[in-house]
Amino acid sequence: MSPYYFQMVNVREHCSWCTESNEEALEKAKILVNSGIKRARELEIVPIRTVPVEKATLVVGGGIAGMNSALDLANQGIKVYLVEEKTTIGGRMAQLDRTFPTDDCSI
Amino acid sequence: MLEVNRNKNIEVLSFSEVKSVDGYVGNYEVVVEKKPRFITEKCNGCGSCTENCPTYTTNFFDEYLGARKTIDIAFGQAVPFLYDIHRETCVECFACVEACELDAIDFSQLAEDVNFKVGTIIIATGWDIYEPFGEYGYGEFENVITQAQLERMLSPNGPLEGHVRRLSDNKKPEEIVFIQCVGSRDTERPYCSGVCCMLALKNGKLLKEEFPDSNITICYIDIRTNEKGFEEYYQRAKDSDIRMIRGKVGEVKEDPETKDVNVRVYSSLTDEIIKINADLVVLSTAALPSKGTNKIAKVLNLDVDKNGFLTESHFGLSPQETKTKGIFIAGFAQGPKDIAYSVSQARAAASKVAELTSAGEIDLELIVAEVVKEFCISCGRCEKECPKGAIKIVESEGAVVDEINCDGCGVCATCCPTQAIDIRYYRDDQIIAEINGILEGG
Repeated sequence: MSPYYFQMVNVREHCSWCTESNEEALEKAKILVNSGIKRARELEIVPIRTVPVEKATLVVGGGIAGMNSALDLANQGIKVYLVEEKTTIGGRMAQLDRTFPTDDCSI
Repeated sequence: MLEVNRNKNIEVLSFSEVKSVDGYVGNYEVVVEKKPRFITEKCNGCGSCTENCPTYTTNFFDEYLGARKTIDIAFGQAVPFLYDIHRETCVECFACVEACELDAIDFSQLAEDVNFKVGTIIIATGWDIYEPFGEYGYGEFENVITQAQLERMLSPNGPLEGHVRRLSDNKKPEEIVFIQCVGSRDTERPYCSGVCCMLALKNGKLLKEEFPDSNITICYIDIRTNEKGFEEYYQRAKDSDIRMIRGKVGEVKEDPETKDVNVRVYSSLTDEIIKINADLVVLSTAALPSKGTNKIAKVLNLDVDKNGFLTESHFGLSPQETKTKGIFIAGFAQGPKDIAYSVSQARAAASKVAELTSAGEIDLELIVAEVVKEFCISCGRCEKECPKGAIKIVESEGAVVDEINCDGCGVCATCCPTQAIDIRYYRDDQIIAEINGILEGG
């Protein structure tokens, strides 16, 4: 069955949680269900279009995050365009001497 | 860095900015502006241009400690290893051109646009560092520096080749005070910058190794060391005789003769006011969302939170996704985090990209505008109002929707004078039926 024929009535948040009297809550629930049924009658299937995905990605930022994403993707055969606004990649990490908590050299 | 540059599948576009992105998931048309370096690919990095250049300019890589030549390279391990000229300070003496044996300097270079097509986008635009001018004497007292500047002083490829000295007199510092949470965890920036506690502990430890006789004090609000190995690191720092004072620094004054900095801090654990005559004061300043994050958020119409970091589509379940399909975020651009967490996010984002790319195609549900031709009078209001340019008036056909680019926002449907436009799944009939159901009662 198409998922677009599904109609949800939110009795919990819109009704039972926010209505104090049980009787009133029941009446409100009935109204909401009726409204849902009316809408459900009008529902129709939404068309789907399948589009191709270009085998290339743009990575904006050449710091430690951007470089790692780029390498992981490139190693899977995906073309990567790595755009960096500074004259060199490396980002903040290249400016560090050592990194915590292992005190490894950053470059 | 070198691995990135050597990988044949990666094209590094440095000194470049994303100008525009059009299209939709799987099919983005990107225009990148490559700024002119005035150096061609012929440059082999011999450095004779720098030797002959007579002028100096600011050095972003060293956090503006010291200057660099107007023609220079960012740092010794820069990738790509290409020089660049700061035209703002260049006097156009062309000494570099004469010195260059490879004819690699080209003053006629202009910015150029690079066009390409991608299926997906990852934003990893990092962070900027808050410059606390006017706070704790920064910018006024010579021996008050930022944590980022201390990093450059400690670095062997930095301006002091790894030997930390006072800026006022080049003396070895003996009494060093760190002040935490400068510009963050306050009313303007309520968030925690996430990395400064560990940075201060690390740099305190490194300074203690270089100057074993020095006194190092860290003035903090809370120490946050809640990731793997961090708490042990904190204990080791304390064991190496780093003094921890819980309390905000109340007053910082410079001794005009010695240029020492007198620090007064209230220790809330011992209920006393402690005075320290410091040689060097280091400010752990706030991490800011980068200017690049702000720019790319505008280009791609991405949401940012109240602090300016990029918003993920769901904090817990879709941390790398954005509201736009095919655009992912990673690292500090999404919010403060350390290197390990940034790498995890980067690889998670890469994995999401690979998931889309390896499938090769994606299904788009067309909950978009639909035009009833008989009612359309080709008035063109929808075309004018559409924020995506996804509806056009075509002669003899009326309004035609570009179903792929339409977001289904409904602006066209509301401005149509003849009610010729409906949004699928949210059609007038469907909504009116729902309202009638409520009015009828249960």
